[in-house]
Amino acid sequence: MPLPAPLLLGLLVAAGSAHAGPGDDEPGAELVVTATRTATPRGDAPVAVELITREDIAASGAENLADLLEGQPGLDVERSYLGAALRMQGMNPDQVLILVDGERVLGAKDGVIDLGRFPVENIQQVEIVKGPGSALYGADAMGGVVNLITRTPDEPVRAEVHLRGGERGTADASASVEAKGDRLSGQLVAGLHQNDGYDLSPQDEATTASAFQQWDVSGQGRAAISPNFSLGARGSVMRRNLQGVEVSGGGAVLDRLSAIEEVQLGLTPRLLLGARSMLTLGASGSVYREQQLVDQRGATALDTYEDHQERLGELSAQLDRATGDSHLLTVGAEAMGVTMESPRLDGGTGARARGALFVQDVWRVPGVSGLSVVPGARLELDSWYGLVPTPKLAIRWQAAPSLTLRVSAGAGYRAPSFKELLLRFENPGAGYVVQGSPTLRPETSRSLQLGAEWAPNDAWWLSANVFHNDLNDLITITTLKAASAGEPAQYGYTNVASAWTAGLELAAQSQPTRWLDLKLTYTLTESRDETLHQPLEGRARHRGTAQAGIDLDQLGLSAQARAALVGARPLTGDTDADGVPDPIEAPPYAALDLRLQKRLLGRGAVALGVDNLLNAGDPTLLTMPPRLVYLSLDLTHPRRDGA
Amino acid sequence: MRHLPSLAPLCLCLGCAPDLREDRPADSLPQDTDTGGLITDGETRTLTVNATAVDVWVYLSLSDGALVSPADPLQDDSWHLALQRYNLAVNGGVSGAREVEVAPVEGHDLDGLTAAPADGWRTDLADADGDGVPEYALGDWYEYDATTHVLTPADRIYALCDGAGACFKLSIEGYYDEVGTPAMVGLRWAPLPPR
Repeated sequence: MPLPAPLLLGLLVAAGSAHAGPGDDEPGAELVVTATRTATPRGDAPVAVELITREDIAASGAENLADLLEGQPGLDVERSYLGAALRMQGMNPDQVLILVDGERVLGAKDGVIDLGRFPVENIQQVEIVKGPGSALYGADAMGGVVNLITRTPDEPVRAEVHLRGGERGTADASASVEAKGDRLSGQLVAGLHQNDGYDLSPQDEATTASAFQQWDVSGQGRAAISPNFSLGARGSVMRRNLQGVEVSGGGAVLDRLSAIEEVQLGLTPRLLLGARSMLTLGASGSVYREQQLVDQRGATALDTYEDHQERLGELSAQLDRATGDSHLLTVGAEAMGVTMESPRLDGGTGARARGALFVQDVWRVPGVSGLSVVPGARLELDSWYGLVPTPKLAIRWQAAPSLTLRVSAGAGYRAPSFKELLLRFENPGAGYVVQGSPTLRPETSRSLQLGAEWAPNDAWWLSANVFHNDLNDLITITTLKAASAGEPAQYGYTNVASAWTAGLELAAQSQPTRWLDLKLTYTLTESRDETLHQPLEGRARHRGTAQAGIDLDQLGLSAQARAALVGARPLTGDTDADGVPDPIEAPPYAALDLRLQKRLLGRGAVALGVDNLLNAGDPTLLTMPPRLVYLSLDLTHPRRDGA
Repeated sequence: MRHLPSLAPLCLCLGCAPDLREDRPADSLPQDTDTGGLITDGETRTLTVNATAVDVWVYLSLSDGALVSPADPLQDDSWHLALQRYNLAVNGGVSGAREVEVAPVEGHDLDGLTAAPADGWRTDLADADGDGVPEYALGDWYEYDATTHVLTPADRIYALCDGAGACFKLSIEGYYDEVGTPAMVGLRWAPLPPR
């Protein structure tokens, strides 16, 4: 049942607009924040929110966000030399906004934020909203938003340790301590991770995925300074080193080393203004630095060293006010500054400033039971391209206690990156030049989403969602000047392309018995590049997932199987060695993960798992990690009932 | 200075990771990115020229089989070919005063060419397409793979004559050395009877 606005506000106060609280056991009752920027029971959200809870994370055996999202319905994790990239509803990785506690993250390379660098040990839940989120979050939320909600203490005292070891030098260790009192609460999480990488084409020196070593520490706390005022603070530090080998087209063997550092700090004061209003302020900053060193074997001609640094500062203010029983109004303002220093940028630096105003009203229509209309809009001013308005309208109707219908239409946009605006790169060997264009406009989208959720009884939950996204002013690399005798090619970024994606997402979840959980999903994705008159690259038309979980409570045993069936994917490659890309089709594949777990009388669990049991993957068209067998141990104190 | 140890943890966190170059000094083994030694087989000479410098031209005398360092390349007649990465200039036209011309020859290998062709002669010309680069007479020496960005010598050789009547036949053998360094231009040439 939809909650009256004052009660919603109460939930919001309890959970905070930056953090959702732990999920309730009742389906649809878990609190989510990403759909509306305020804590809302998932079932009441005006747009569908997919939720991966802490329990789901533990059951998956995943150590990082890439592993976690790989098996999620409707999501496409594509691995390449850039890392693990996320596609959603057929949209590119740079059209999906990734947030940590509602804050942007830095470090995109060619538009890809490597999901592999986000460890899961400090994640409480992952919220996924498909479709444009620019009306609330601004730039880059064309295809959807993935919000990582970091862990918050939910018990007076708890300590946890997690260890995992597996093939290919896989070693993971993490620990957390948390404490929660009446006025103070806090948590500290630390992790160490390493892996030897892998090589799907051992006939040459090149590696497919780099070896890495990573450590991370994160912490957060909140102090209730008075009944109406609390102050939250959080911070995280991450260091990640990667080592890989590349073979150039001319045959040079290049050792590639990277050192990544990331620091994030944030403050979130929260002030209750009477019984019906709350003001949440935010101040955050983050630094991302990546050193890249290339060391040619046997020579120094191709040796390079580059130091890239990005800095982000954000200020935000959000007021939530409940009016009567029918309105929950959210208004807010944000200001952001970003700088990048990189030898690849023309002049070596780039900077942008951005300010935004947003407003949204959750209006529970009087006289129509279960009907919510949620208009919203955001007006964003960017120092590079000016004003961009992004309106959105979402309607949720609980047509029957078991049936929820949702419709939303909205606009989204993606800001041109510094690279697209300012790149100046000349290949030292071949001489070709790639240059940015400071006059680029943002990419824009218009989207329509229709969805239905039906829970006919306690054992079944079904959902269907239809989407259509129109994309315009897409930024692509075009040949400004073709290579000719003695003159290398020149490439540049231009707003030339338009495209659309459309599809259908189906999901069925069932608990036919107390010990068995089943989940089936299917996604049909159609896409078309209207400029090239061909499907967008890499999108599988058919994608299905199946998940089965068995929990023999009395024996303390549980088992989980996750399978993904992915249809053929259109790609391009130079098959006839004429230097011109040809259409090719990557074959369908199936991936299967298995995990068996034994609980240790509330003190933790041991688990044996196999990722990618069928060993799907190939060196060029599907560079996913090969089969991995691992053993893990989780310990918790004090004893947790039912764990 | 005494506060430095206490600042170390902060430094560790805020962008003060060790410089990656500290652990990877430049390769200490002898490098192969030097111009190789001249190999002479009868009248045929082979040389790999290091043309890797982005903004430095390397000058070659075909008659001497050696690199030269002209004080004023535009006026100096000590060189026949100049190389800078993928650019090959001849000492003629807008590039020099020796009146060097070249003519492409297809369907012959170097040993099979015994006389200079009658036509097809050209020299370096001024920039005609506005890109700031002269129209080099040897500009078509390579094929470019836009997918891999690899340069491969085109299937042709060249006859080359200077204003004094001395002629050579020239084959560009490769653009990468054995460790894959680009702009290590492999050249093979031999004298040719005057045209």
